[in-house]
Amino acid sequence: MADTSARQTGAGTNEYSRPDGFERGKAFVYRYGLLTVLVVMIAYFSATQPFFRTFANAMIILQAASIVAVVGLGCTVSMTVGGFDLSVGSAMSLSIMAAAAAMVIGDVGGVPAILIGILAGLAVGVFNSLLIVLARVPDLVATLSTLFLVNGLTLMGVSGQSVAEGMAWNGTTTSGKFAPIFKWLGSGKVVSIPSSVIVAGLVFLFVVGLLNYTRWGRAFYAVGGNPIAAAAAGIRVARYRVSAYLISGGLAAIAGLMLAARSNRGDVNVGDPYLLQAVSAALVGYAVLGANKPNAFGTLIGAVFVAVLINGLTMFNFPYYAQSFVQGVLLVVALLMSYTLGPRRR
Amino acid sequence: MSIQGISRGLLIAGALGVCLAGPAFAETKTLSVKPGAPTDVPEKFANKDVAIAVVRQLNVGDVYQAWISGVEAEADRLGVKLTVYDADGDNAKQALQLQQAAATSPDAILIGWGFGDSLQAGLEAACSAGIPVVAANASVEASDCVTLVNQSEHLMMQGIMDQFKADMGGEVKGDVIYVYVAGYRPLDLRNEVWETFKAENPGVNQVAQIGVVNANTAAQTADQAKAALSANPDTIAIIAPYDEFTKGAALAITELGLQDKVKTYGMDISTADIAVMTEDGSPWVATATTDMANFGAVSLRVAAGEITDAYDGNDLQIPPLVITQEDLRTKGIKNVEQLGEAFPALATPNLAEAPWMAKLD
Repeated sequence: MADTSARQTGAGTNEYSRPDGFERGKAFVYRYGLLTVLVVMIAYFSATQPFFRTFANAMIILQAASIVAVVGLGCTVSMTVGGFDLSVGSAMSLSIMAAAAAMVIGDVGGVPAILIGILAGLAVGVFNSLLIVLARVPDLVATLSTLFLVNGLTLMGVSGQSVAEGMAWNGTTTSGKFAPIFKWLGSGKVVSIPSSVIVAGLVFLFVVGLLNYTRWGRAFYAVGGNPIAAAAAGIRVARYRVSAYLISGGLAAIAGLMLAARSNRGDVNVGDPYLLQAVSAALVGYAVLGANKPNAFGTLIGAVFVAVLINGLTMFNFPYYAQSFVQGVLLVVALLMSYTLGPRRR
Repeated sequence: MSIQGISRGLLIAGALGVCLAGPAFAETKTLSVKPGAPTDVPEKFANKDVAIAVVRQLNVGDVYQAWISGVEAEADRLGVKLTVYDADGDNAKQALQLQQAAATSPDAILIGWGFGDSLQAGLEAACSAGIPVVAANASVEASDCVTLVNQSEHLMMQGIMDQFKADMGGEVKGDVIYVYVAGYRPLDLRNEVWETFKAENPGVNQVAQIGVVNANTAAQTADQAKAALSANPDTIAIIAPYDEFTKGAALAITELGLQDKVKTYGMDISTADIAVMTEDGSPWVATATTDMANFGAVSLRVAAGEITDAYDGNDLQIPPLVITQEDLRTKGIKNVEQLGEAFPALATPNLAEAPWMAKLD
């Protein structure tokens, strides 16, 4: 609580004359503020809602966070190279439709359907790369046009219908089924941990390893920080930007497969809302441990934070429209922490 | 004519506490209050110690808002505590929320809309935990632990088809645009009636089928309807059996200035829908509806009744009412509350009302 009051008085102008204690408080909020809020929130929900503190509910929260986390980690990678991928939601929708149609209409079975879904996501990444790296279209507008193109393509491929077992297709009833591996991905468990949580965990380890522990990761950040300096230092900028968009598309596809597996259907445009959820998780992540840059751990916390919040608020019967508002408050607070309390930039 | 016919059927059905049977599944049996149902208020209810989880697939829109308000009002009356999960139309989210609801061990679960494919795992979890499930307008199958409460889609659609035929002087001849998207259970059931109607009325010439269901259904249906109307200038009617479709169809007709030539027949009703229907020159001439707030109330009532083992059977259909533009205008109806007063048959207080529930009033 002392930290909060310190932050509020910090809005004053003569902060340079403040004693050391204030600066230390500010630094603490900057680094640990969001994690503190998360811990306090978990403690409060646990104290007031008996079901909240159970292992089963912890797994439900992680399951709820898993899809947003996977897409968000993809966004994080594209943000490290200074890019921004608006097409992740549509890439999700495309991979969902491709995989669902492959199984239900094409009757190809589980593993080929998963490969088709992932290839669909990678294809979106390839297209983004062509626009951005080869055709030199700015990231934001390039991926915006990809968003519409891919959404349209997805709908055209299935004539605007949702794909479900036993659907009518070209005048006949389809006989293909969602494969067992999808049912496992959707509701299976390994030693009481849901499979979607395991997949999200593996994706997290991959991204954290890539960004934090390899030369590649440092190069990603270098490209994002200053592409000209990076090029002068011998980093092949184009190659890293292409890789970033491929990873972003690929992870969106994996998230799409997780979503299709949980719903056991291919729903029209169902990936769209995940773009904003994922970007929001990545931005909240800036404020975690004072990173002030896209980072894998922060994105994971960003996704889990929202899942904890929604889970707890639901137990208090918060209506859905108020939940969206609270999520907005979280994002503003996180942005204030990283942009306003953070080191001044020129 | 159809209004009276259907209201009469409704009253009879309501009075007997039973309902008209829908399409028959092997294990489906019409729900009715058991002879041995509890007559005194069960202790759990008297102590207001009953928890019901509501898991909704769709929550944004007048229809869903009206439904949940009915659920909440009935929960208040019966002394039930609610936890409401909203999936925002995301089936994966709803699947997880149902599992979450089952894990919290409520006394019953009420599902509002949803697909069996997505809900299967959660249903199994709830059933194996011995939690009774009531599914309102969801595409799931009835079983020993799953009870269905549905609007009678067939009767609703039949109602507006009868009205359409009556308005055309008993014989329908001409070009008709039809709005439909496959894969949604209520729309699929309404479509069955439409197919039969076309077969029985060869004068009906379906020139176009349009439709889209998403967050922007009405506006996008309007765009499609405009294109279809422009391509088919001899169209006499748009059959749009879902209120977001009908709003889109009405908008398209009005914007093209065709309201004297083209009428639209719709489905459902909300305060916003009433405003559209009663506007000057509105082409929306008739709608069939189940009062959604009443539907919500009955859904919650059945869930509460299942907790006290008050029923035989596992399938309840709520009878509909056909309402015309003329009805609304002559009675000066502006909102659903006035509609309920003007058409008392919309509320079905005796439907699935167990003896103990009556003692709470």
